[in-house]
Amino acid sequence: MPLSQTSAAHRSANPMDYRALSGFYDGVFAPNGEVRPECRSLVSFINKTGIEGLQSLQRDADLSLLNQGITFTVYADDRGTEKIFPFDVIPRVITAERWEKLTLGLRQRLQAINLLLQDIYSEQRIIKEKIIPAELIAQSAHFCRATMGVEVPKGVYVHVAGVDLIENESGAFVVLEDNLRVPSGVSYLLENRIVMSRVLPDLLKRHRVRRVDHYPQILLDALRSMSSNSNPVIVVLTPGIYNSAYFEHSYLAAQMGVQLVEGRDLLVDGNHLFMKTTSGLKPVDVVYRRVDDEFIDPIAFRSDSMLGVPGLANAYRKGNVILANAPGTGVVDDKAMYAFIPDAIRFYLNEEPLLKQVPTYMGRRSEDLPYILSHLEELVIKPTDGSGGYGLLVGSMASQKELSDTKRAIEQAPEKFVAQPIQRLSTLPTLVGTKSADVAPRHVDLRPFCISRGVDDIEVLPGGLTRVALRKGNLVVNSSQGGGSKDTWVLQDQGQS
Amino acid sequence: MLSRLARGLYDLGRVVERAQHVARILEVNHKMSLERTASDEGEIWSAISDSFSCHLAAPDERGLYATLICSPDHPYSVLRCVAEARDEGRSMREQISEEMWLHLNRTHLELQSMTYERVMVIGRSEFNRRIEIFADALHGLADDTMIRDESWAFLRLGKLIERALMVCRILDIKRKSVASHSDGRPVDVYQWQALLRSLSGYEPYRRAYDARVVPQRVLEFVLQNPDFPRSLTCTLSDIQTTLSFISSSSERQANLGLTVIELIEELQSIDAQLIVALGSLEQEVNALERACSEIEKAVEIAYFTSLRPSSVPIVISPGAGLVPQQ
Repeated sequence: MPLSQTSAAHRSANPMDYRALSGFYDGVFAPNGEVRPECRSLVSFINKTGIEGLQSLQRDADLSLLNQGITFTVYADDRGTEKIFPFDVIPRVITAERWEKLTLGLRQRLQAINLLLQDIYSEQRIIKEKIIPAELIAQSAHFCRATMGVEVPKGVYVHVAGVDLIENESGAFVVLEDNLRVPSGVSYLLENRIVMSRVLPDLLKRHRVRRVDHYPQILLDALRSMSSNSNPVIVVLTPGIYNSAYFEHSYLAAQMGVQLVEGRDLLVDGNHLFMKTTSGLKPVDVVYRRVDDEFIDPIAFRSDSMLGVPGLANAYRKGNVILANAPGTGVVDDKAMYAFIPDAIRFYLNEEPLLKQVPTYMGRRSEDLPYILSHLEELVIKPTDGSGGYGLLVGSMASQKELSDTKRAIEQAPEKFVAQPIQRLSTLPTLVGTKSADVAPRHVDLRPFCISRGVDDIEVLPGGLTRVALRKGNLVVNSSQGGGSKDTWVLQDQGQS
Repeated sequence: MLSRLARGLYDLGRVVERAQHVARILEVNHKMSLERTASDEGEIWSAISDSFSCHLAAPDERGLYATLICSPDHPYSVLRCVAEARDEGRSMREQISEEMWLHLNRTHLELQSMTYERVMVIGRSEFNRRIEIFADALHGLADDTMIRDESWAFLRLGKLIERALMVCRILDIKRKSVASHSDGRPVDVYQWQALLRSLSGYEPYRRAYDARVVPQRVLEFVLQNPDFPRSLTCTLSDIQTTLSFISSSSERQANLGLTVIELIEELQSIDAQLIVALGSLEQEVNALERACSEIEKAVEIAYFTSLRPSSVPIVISPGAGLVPQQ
């Protein structure tokens, strides 16, 4: 690891004696070792503060998160231990120019995705024109028959998306996953900013960072605008306190000033949705649901689940209640379908995609299959029906046996696999270690949150959840893999106030 | 407000009040047992065991502590009540104040690994005192930090309903342990005193009357005193006031208020002297217990069960979703 060779004592005097990893994009240092212009103020602050100063700020930040109970539940622990989501005090800085470019790309992508969903659940032109193979949709586990033929308000299926992006070697943003079902993490983004404004107010002010705290307002406005009722009753539907994201559900409900409900608080009568209150039944117009498709209605979907509301699917089909996101968005949020999003952008918008995405080789394509089989060591192999990293194989890290087993599996059922080149996630300086702390490069991704008020009215919150893999060399940023987060600072345009 | 949340707050109020009463009853009788003969002692523990359905073969203090303080299952176990209170608080954090949440959470963390042996190390009295302070502090925080809306009212309603039922239960324990010799022997006087102490009422009683413990006065004080917060009359008046904070849109809800007022009036007409003379405490206590249980049930039906507005029967046909029958 080409880190600084200087002594520990020297390092703590000068924490930014830091070497970026070669072959990876670093958010603070250009390849020639110079500090990127937008990060000069941050670097001089870190050098002035020193390692001990940073550690002290880190302790303040951790304490602030713990006291407020900003925690997630660890499923593996049967006592339901609540832990804080690790947080790194060194922020990520993104210039207005880069952000603007990213925003345009995200808007274009979500516009096409909403149009694609509308098409899939109505005429299916894209299939008839043979741009997307029909079996891709027919075989998808996330295709939702209940949504077929439903006219959703304003053509919006994906009200909230949390698109996962990485930066490639040259620093361009690349889409990794679209997360169109029930994306989470926005509460951490909002709380990270609150903690930073408490711990580093001067630095934040100096940077002229764009605000993120209006997110609940944007979300509420978007949800309200979906209803034909001028004063709609909106609720947030949560699976309950044992869900790992319960904190976020209760946080968003409180911030929006709407009721947080569980399935057992609701009932459907005569195809209308009601909540059970102390003064009888109150009609509900819009449900921002944080419960997965297969659990929202035990009659239409899984009968063994008590999380949902019997009859909700029928009320939805009748147009008496709005569900955000619409059931069935997962059909597009699929590893094989991902490969077709650029084609969908061209098909519906007649534009070239503005955002790059990771090239995907599909086992089902005869021209891709020989390449996959002969380049396993350089690829990440993903089963199309897997999620959450299950069944995923990173070729460069796999043993000979794993490689030959996977090869055999692909040969037997090539349509069940896709392959992507191993991604070189960008790095950011991060405070690591406790006893001998240091500022070292760690890999990051970025999840911006996008809210659709209409097919061509999409707002991207200027910020995003930056997740960081705290373990050295780790490319997986998930919190279950020891990942943490950083505050993301999108700078104001020079002309903006 | 949502019925589920109303019920959660109501249950929170109940379990906190319950933990306090159980701890105080055990504490009072523990102190009394220090100065009693073995034969008298057996009666009181079996009366408590019986009243709380502990199902102990040979009820003694140790068995009752193991059950009523430390059992993870018994609905009146103090540790179970504290754990339940914290769970309710966690699922309704936005309904209660930050101060209440911190208090619930801290107490939970302190008690979560508590065992019978640890209670003995800390000392019974010290442990019971902590439980009493926990409950007093929580209700105090509720009154001083919560907005006086329906959430607050349901929490308070839970506390008061539990208190009314507990007053009946304490009278029942007294009745069972004293019925055999209500003849003014010293042990009888101590037991009437224990009754007052079980409601933290001995000192207020002395102030209202004097230090002489007279059965008739004790009954009047516990049943009819309008100003002592743990008398049955005062508790019911508080229930009536609390109900006025809560919307009463249905007939059931309006009737509930009337039932409470009727019971207060009935209580006032009780003649304590006659009860003592006739030895009819058992019948009176049973009747009061029934009346309070009915109020408890009426609260549940009026506020926590929303019925379907229309009576369209619903037929579930496999895979076809909900189909209203034509």
